[in-house]
Amino acid sequence: MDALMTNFPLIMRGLAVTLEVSLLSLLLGTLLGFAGGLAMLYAGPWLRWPARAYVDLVRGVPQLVLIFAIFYGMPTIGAQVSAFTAGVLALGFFCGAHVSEIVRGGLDSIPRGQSDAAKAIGLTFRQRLRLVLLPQAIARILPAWVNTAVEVVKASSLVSLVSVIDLMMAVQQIVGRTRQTLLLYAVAAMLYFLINYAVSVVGRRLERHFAHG
Amino acid sequence: MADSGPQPVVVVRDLVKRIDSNEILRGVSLEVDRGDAVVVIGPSGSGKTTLLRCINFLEEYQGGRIHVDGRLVGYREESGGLVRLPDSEVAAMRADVGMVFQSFNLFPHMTALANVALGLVQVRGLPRAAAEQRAASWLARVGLGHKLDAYPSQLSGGQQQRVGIARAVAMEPKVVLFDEVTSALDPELVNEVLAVMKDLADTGMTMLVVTHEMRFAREIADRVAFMDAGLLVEQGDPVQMFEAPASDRLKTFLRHFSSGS
Repeated sequence: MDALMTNFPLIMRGLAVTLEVSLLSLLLGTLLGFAGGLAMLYAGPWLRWPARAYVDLVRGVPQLVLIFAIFYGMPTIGAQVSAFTAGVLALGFFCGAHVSEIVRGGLDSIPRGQSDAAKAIGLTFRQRLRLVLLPQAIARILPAWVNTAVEVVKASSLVSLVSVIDLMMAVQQIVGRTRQTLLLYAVAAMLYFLINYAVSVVGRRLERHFAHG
Repeated sequence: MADSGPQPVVVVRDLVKRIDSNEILRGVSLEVDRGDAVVVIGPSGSGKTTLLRCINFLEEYQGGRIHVDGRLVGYREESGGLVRLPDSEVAAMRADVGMVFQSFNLFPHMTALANVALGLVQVRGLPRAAAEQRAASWLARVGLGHKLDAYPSQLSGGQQQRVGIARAVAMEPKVVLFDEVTSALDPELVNEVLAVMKDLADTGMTMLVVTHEMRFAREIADRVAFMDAGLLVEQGDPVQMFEAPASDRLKTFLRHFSSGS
């Protein structure tokens, strides 16, 4: 228990970094995902194909490979990125690929009659999307988005491998000094679980909010 | 256009619609005069629905011309060919063509009132209060003044379709297209929808109606058009069409209905 108390500040700093990496990756990934999903459904071939290629490529590559590719690969083409930035970019791309597919599927599952009816009263493309299609698709997008968010939080532990001092790295450092293996990994597991539990609870609440009609 | 005589709101000339190598419409010509109700009948797959969908450009067409209120639908002429209009211009044009669908297509996440008010606010630019007032008065007109706050899932099919009609006519379009609007309804709900349509026809709404309700067609139509296999085979006065059809194909078609209606 002493190991916990004396190292409590380090664990909290690690937890903060984990939350930061996760939130930034989710934000980047969600923006990329909506752009990618819309491009795959509605854009001309010059945008649709790159979007499709991005989604298929990134979904088929392990997250750790993405992180290493950016952290060690970017400097070789003259772009230095910090470990933290590399982690956020890699996990953001990972998240974005999954959210793209979720957004595409969510919008695609809205019956064509909805888009017909929206066109028939004279709504423009943007209005149809904003007022008719997305409000209905969001109820189908949200559950899968929550799953992806949970995956991103878990995958954030991989940034410890490019020596970002996140929750995982903090715990490993303490383990190295104190040898309290079981206790510390149990604490780490519990903290990851709590983050994801909170994500799920918020997600379910949002689902209920959007689940009319 | 001349001042004398009725002015056509919809003019369809030699309309051709292809999907791949399949010709759905093979040169259809049809006019709808202001204030008239034109009813299109014909067997399934004859192209009736496609004709309606071309008129408000839910479908592109490959040959011929469609004009609504004098404006070419969906394209502009450029050096002999047709160039597709940008989305915003197509949208503005569609606002003047109402459409009521077989499967209602109400927006499930909005109340009846919001369904009808949406276009008034977003397309016509009315302030919300004015839009809701106009929407409420149209809903009252179709007998749903007590259902303003109901969601589509809380309404019967007949009620949903009446909301669909209110949504279309509230925009005050130049013409309203009705695409087999009673086909998805239970038989006991058909009449409440037909009554609303008859009311609209009586007040001089310009309507183009695709239907299988022959008695109704005869009752409201100023003119009946019969389509078969992508062609407009015959058109004319409803009494003459139903009593003394000229073509064999219309005779055969009407025989199927003589027992039922």
